[in-house]
Amino acid sequence: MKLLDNYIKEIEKEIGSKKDIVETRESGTLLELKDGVAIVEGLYNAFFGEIVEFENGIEGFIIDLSEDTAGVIIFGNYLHLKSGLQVKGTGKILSIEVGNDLIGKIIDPLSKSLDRRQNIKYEKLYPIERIAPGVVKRQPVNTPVQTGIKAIDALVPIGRGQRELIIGDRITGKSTIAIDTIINQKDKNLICIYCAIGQKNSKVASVIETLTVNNAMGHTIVVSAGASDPVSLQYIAPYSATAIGEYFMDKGKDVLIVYDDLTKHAWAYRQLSLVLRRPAGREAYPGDVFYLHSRLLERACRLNKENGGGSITALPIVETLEGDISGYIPTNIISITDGQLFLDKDLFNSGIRPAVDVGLSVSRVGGNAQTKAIKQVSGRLKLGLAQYRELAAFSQFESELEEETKKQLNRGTKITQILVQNKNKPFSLAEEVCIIWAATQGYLDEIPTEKVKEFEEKLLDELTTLKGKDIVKKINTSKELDPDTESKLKKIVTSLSLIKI
Amino acid sequence: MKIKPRLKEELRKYLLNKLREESKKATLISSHKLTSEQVDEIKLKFPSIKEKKLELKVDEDLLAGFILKEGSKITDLSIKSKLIQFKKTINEVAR
Repeated sequence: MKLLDNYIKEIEKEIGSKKDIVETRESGTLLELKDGVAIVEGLYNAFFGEIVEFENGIEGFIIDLSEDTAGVIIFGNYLHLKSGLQVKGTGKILSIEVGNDLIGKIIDPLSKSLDRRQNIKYEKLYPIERIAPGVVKRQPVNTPVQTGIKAIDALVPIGRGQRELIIGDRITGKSTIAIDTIINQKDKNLICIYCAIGQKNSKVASVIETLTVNNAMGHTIVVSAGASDPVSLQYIAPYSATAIGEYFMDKGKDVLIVYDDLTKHAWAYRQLSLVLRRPAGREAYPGDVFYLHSRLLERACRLNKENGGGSITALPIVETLEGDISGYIPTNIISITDGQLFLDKDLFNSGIRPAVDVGLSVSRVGGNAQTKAIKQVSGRLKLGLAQYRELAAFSQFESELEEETKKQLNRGTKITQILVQNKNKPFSLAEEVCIIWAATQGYLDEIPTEKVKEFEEKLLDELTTLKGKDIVKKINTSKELDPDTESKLKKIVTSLSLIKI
Repeated sequence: MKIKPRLKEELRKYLLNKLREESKKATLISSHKLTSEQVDEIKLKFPSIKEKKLELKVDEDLLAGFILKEGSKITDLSIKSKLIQFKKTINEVAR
C-alpha cells in the first residue's frame, strides 16, 4: 500500500508541476512511410531538428524540410505507424536529459535507462547537436590519458582533449584497446563514455561484463544503439554521447569517449540519406559524410582555464577491410583526427598483442602531454625500434651479419616482446617506466626471447617488495625518473638478470 | 496507362493550391454543436481567426472542449488530449 501511495504522490507532483497553458502547436499528416523515415505533409512552420510526436506517442525528429513536406526520422518502432496519422510538433530542439547520476548506467541514445530497474536522476537538458567550442576557448593538450598499455603510452601517447583514431581490420583488438584504456582510468579523474553504434548486442553485453568485472563501471557510462535498434538511434548515438560528455566538460571535468565504431555510423547515415533520396556520392555515401564526422570529432577539445578547463578526449574506432586504410571513411576520419593507432592483422596473429603497427601509428599532439618519466625512457625505445625495423627487412636476405647488426636485431626483438601485453591488464606508470627502462638499457639482451615474459613477471613481482614499492611510489608521484631512483632500479634489474644467467 | 508529365505537374500544382487555400480558413472541432454566442466568445479569445472563414465540425470523441485548426497550426483544448497527456504522465512516473 505504501508503494501505491508513493506512486500516487509522485503523479500528483508531476501534474502539479506542469502549468496549464494554452499552446498552439504545428501539426501535419503522415503521408509516406519508408524504412525508419516518415514523410509528413503539413508542419509548415516547424524548424529543422524539431522533435515531433506521432498520435500514438512515438517520437521522431525533422531532418529534411522541403517546400510542402518534412522528412522525419523515427525513434522507436516505426512498424506501429500508419499513413494518415496526425503528427504534432513539440517546439523543442532534439536534446537529452543529462546528470551526474548517469555515471555507471547503461543507457540508450535518448539517455533512457536500458536497465528498467535503474531510476536515473536528471539535472539538465543538453542539445544533441552543438557547435564545437571555437578557437578562443581552447588550449593545447597538456595532460596525458594514461592508457596503461605500454606500446601506446610510450610510442603513440594520447593527451586529454586529443582525438586518436583506432583503426584496423575486424578482430585485431580495436575495442580491447579502448576497453583497457577505460579500465585503467579508475581513480584517475577521467569519466569514460563507451558509445556502441550498430554493435551486436552480445558484444555490448560482454563489454559491460568486462567493465563490471574490472570495477570500471564506477566511472563509466555505456550508451548503446545496437544493430537491431532503429537506424535513427544509431545515427544520433555518438552525438548524444558527446552531449553527455559536454555536460561533464562544462563542469570542468575530463571526459573520454569511445565511439565503437564510426564505420557503422556512416552506414546508418548512408541508409537514412538514401531513403530520403539525397544525392549519393562515392560508395553511395551522401555528400556530407565528411561533415557528419568532422562536426562530431571537432567537439572533442581541451577548454582553457577561463572556460572551466574541462576536456573531451575522443577515441573513434574505424574498421578497415583487408588492412586498406585508403578507404573512403577511414581516410576521412584519419584526416580529422590528431593521429591514429593502426592495428595489423599479421602482428595480431603472430601473437604481438596489442597489434599496434608502430610504423603506421602516429600521435600528432600527444607527445606534449607525455609525463617526463615516460619521455625519458621512450626516446631510446623509438630509436631502437626504428633501427630494428630497417635492419629486420634487410637481414632477411643476408645470411652473414655484422656483430653490431646482430646486436641491434636482438635488442629490437626484445623490445618488441616487452611491448606485448595481456588484455585487461593495464600497467601503472611506474611499471611501464621500469620495464621499458630495463629493455632499452640492454638488460634483456642476454635473456632468450621466450623468457622475456618471465623476466617481466619477475620484475613486476620485485616491484611489489619493500624496495620496489619505494621506486613505484616515487615514479608515480613525481612522474619522473631521477638519478637516485634510477640507480635503485638498476640494482634490482641487474640482480634479476644475473639470476637468469 | 501512362500519365503525361505535364498533367502530373498540373495536378501537383492544383493540390498544393488547395492546401494553401485550406491554410487560409480555420476549422473549429467541438464535442457538441456550438451556439453562435459560444463561437463569438471563442473568436474573442482567438483574434487571428476573426477574418478567416470558420468551419464548424462536431466530434463526440473529444468528450468536452474544442480543437482549433488554422492551417498547420493546431490548438488543442479538448478533454481527450488532456486524458492522453494524463496517461503519458502516469506511464512516465511508473518507469
